[in-house]
Amino acid sequence: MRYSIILIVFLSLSISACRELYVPDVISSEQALVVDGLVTNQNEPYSVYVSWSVPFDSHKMSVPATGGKVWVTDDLENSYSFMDIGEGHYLSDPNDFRGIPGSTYSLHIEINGELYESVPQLLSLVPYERTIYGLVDREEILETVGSVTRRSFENVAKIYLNLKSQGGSLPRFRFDPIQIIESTYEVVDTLEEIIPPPDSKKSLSTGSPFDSPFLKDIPLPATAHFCWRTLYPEDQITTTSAVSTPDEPIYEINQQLIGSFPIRRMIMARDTVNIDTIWYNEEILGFVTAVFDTTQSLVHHRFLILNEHQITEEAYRFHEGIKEQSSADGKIFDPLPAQLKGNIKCVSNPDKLAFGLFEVSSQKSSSYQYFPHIGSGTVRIEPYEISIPDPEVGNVTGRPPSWWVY
Amino acid sequence: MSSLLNLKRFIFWIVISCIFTNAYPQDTEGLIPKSYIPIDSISGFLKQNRDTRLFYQQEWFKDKKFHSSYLDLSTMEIMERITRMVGCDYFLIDSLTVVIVPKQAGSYNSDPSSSGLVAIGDPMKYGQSSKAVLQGKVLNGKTGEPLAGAIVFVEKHNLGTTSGAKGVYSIELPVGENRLTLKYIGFENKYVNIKLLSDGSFDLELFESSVKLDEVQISAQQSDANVYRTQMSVMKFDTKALKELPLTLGEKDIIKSISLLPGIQSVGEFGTGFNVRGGGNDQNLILIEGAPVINSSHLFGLISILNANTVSNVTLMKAGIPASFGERSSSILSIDMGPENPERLKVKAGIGLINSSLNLETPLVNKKASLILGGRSSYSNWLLHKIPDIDLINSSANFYDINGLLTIKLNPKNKIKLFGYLSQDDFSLSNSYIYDYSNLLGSARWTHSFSDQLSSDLLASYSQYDYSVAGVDTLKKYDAYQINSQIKYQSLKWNLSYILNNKHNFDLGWNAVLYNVLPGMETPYGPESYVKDLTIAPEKALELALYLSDNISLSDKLNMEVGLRYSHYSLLGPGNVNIYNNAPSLSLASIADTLSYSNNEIIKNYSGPEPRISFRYVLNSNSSLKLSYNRINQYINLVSNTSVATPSDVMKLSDTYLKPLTMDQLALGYYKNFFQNKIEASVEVYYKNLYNVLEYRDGAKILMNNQIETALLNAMGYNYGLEFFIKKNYGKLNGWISYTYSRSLRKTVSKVEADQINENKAFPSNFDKPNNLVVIGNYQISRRWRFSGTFTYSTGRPVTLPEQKYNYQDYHLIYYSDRNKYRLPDYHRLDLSITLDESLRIRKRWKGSWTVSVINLYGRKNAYSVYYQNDNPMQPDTYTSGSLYKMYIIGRPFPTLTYNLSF
Repeated sequence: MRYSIILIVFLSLSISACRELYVPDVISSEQALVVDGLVTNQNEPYSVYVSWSVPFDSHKMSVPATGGKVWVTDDLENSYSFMDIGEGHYLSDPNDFRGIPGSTYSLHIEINGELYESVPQLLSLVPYERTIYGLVDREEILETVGSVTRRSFENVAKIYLNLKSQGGSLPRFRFDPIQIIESTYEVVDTLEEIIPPPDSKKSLSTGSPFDSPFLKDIPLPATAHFCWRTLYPEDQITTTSAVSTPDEPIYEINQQLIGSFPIRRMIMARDTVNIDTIWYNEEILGFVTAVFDTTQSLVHHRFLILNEHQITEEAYRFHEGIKEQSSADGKIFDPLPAQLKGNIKCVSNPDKLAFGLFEVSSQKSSSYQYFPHIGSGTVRIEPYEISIPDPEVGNVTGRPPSWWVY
Repeated sequence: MSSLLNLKRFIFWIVISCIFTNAYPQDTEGLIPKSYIPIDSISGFLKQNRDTRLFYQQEWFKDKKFHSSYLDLSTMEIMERITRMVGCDYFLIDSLTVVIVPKQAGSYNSDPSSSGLVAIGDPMKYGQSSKAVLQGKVLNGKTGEPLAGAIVFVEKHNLGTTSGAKGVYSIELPVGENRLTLKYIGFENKYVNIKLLSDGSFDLELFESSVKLDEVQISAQQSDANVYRTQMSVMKFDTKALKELPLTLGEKDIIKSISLLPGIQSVGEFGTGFNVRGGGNDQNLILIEGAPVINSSHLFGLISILNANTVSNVTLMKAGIPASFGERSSSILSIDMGPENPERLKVKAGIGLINSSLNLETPLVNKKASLILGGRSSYSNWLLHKIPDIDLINSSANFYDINGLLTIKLNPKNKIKLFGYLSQDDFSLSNSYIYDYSNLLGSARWTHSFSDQLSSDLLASYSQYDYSVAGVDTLKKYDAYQINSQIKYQSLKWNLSYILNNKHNFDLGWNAVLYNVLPGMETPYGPESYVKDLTIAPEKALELALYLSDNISLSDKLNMEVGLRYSHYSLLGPGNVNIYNNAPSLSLASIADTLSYSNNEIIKNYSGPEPRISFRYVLNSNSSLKLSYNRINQYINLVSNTSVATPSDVMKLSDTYLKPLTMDQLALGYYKNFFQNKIEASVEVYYKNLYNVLEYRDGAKILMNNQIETALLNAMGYNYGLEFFIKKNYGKLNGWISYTYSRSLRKTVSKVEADQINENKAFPSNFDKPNNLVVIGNYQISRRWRFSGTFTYSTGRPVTLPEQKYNYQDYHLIYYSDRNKYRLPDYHRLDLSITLDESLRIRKRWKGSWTVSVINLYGRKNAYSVYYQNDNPMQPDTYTSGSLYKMYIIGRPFPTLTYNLSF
């Protein structure tokens, strides 16, 4: 018999499974209208963002769709107009329009001679109870720099919800946790950078800047620097994966993770910040710079604004589709790509494409201050009235903003 | 010169041995070793052990002794040898009665491979009719296994037939003397001179050829079996052909080799299984010793589940599938294990690139039984770590498999085969996904022969496939999960074969399959996980089938095989069925109620006839036309939304909403051989209609979905194609060219938009590759040098590509084209190898050969997949936030050097 018994040498030591950029010969279809609209039961102006898609090989990402007419109708045939405030942003009048639970809303957009409409969306509001709590945990961090991957651990505060139905089964949810961080630093020194005046022949390079004759009108430097930052979730929109059926209605959802927030104190600002400007004969002569130790903040506060949206099944699938598409990275067994179905159609010309979602959801907002305690492994969470700061990220020296928490 | 000298010495010693063997005088009997026995002992042995009576005159065997090893031979071989030694002829009255007669002048024994004149039939009926029916079985003379597809031919009358699945043949011949020609590739041609007195039976035995075949001579069909066999679209490999399979990564691989045949395609370098005529991998019923296999591959599909060294026969049927088979709609791949020589102990061992194997074959209980044990184990991690892909470097893969086959010949009429197989695979993908799966197979087969006309076959088989997949994202340990799943397949099948006469050969039987599927059980993975337990309701079903078929010889030229299979399927409780309200499309929101069913309560019944019919019309001695139609119902389907079948794909039983897949196939073929069968050629066309093909909705969640019917759609399928095949069987240059043009389309037919794919327009399935070309050539350069090459080309498979991009909130999103609107670049690859046999002059206990092969000689980067990935903006003022990438597996020439041993 003939029989293979020994394979001796494997000459090539690499198979070279790899990837390379691929430019297919794709027939790009006509640009499509993209809609991002949200109507809730909150008393606030509702926004509808409208843009145009671009071919896949374009260097732009999208083009704002301006000059359109946008309105919303309900099942009682009321109509609410949105105002074009530019850059494809259309805004409702809160005095005119507020979403009412139990009503059904449709979005209409007239643009470039075509009429687009959403599938009617029901604004549902199911009463439920919920408990918020948190735990301190350690999470593994992988950081890749070049070809080197570093592994480390850090403490995080994990915030959870327990949800319980009050009468009916629980619907789909979308949670939108917004974190606000406040940090206060002590100014340890101030420095001045002085540009010599054009008519000065004297060098200013010697001596203390505080002795400079040009500083006589400058107020004393402040002793504290206040920084704040608003952090939106980097990860995907969180939704409940549970779904109720008549056979197995979901009355409770426990341990629904809302977010995992690092406990370490962030560096909120550069270690030097210009706190004043030095003028001389209406010309900028220099700056006063505050210097502080960014590693040691005096006070560090953490807040959480939690928006809970009860969403429709269509909205849930759309958000899940976003999550799936964003996480695709070419794994061998990745699911096949699929079109992301929204709820917008071009009714005047069915051949026209339209993407995006007109979301109608009941929204419940609440805000908290939370205090992680590494020693006990607990996170104390207390209700606290706070709004998203304006501006969302900023810093100021000397006097804190009016909303600052001491 | 020295070799010539050695040859002369060898002949000298053979002659001397023969002289001494034949010259032992009677009076020196006491000196004769006990290994030599008289004719009476042989006669007694045949009577006692083989129920065969031997008639002879004592005086013809006076002073003659025969080596006792003759008793190990078949009856026919014993007769051949002893009659040759004493200068006699023999003939058979029937298969159990042999008469030795003095050699007659002008006998037909002039051909070294022909047997003596055999009288068949009742002498009292001789002359009563001008024609008589000769029937019997064609058997492997060494193993006793039936040979299906062997040619029995009488050249003088231009009459011929082929043996059926059980080796049974039947032919009507003129009474009187006929010269039968027996052919079966890999076996010595045999010529039997018979005197047909009346209707009678006669078993024919063939012995394996000692002629060495060229390296990739993989088709084992007899050279003109393609013309004479009634069944069409059949590919066969026997022991000899399996030895000559092309090497894949230094290993012989049956599944990979099968994909080189017309109408059969693989998904690429990676991927499990194969696609037959546009069908999915789940539409192939793969049977190992009658036990169905769920996952036929190891290591992402790099290696098939079969150890080619323990396999004796492989048969693939793509059309005209007999009524005795069903369950899967596209093809039947039947694999039998068997020893090379059941009468000798043999140990085989192999060391390959990524695994090693050890096999044992041994006779037991005075050679009435034989045992095969085999196993393989891998060490493939190093190979993965050589692949410059970060995911694969961080991956691992291991497997092992063990198998055993015990064959017991209780007596000439009863045979039992016991088979067992176990395999285990585990691999992790970039440390994020851990896969673990195992196959457990077992079967017991009892074959009983009531008479030459009537035999039965009872087969009980068991197959269990377990898999688990764990998702372990190090950044989301709270989300780590493990999903376990299991498929159990218990089958009982009974078949009765009855040869009524030369015109009718019946097969009838029944088949019962009990399916148990555990689609998924999700549990948290690791102590930090907060994943909640979730179990998808298990499924259970019973499939029963009755069948009857008749192979009818309508005339010398026209043969027909007609059959009917009737299958009945019951989905059984326990289980829950969601009741949906009158919403146009099934969705979670439209669930109105849920019905519960108790254990073994019938939830849903499906049943239907599965007619089969095949015709063969012989145009002349080297060409024929064949036509076949068959319908098959399939009650278990693979649910997958990946481009490549994965070990964790869900098998789904037909239920209230997901109907059974039904496939109708019509095929027509023309077969012609040239130059005395040196070249065989065929053209086949086929058309398939598929009803209730499972398709998935866009964005469907398939894993762990208790309402999976809301994620799936029943679609239509249309597969059609044209296959050309031309093959040169012999000569210095041999090989084949196969070209297939085929389409595989799917179409939804719902009026509801949510249930439509591509707006109900027909779209290519994932297996639609219209053009497929395979060229295989082997050239014997000299006595020691051999060269072979394989070129494959196919149209790129369909793919869905990005057409538009847009922003939604802070997400950069992609609009993908209609499903499978585009195609990957065409696939083509050239593999070459050259082999140098060691000189036969060097005296060793073994002989070896060196083979250098290069896979993908010109280093084409054939796309395995194309995918979109979110990237970081490369420049702040542009939005190249995502790119399209082509992934390839073997992107450069891949050389190997192999040393083969023969001993």
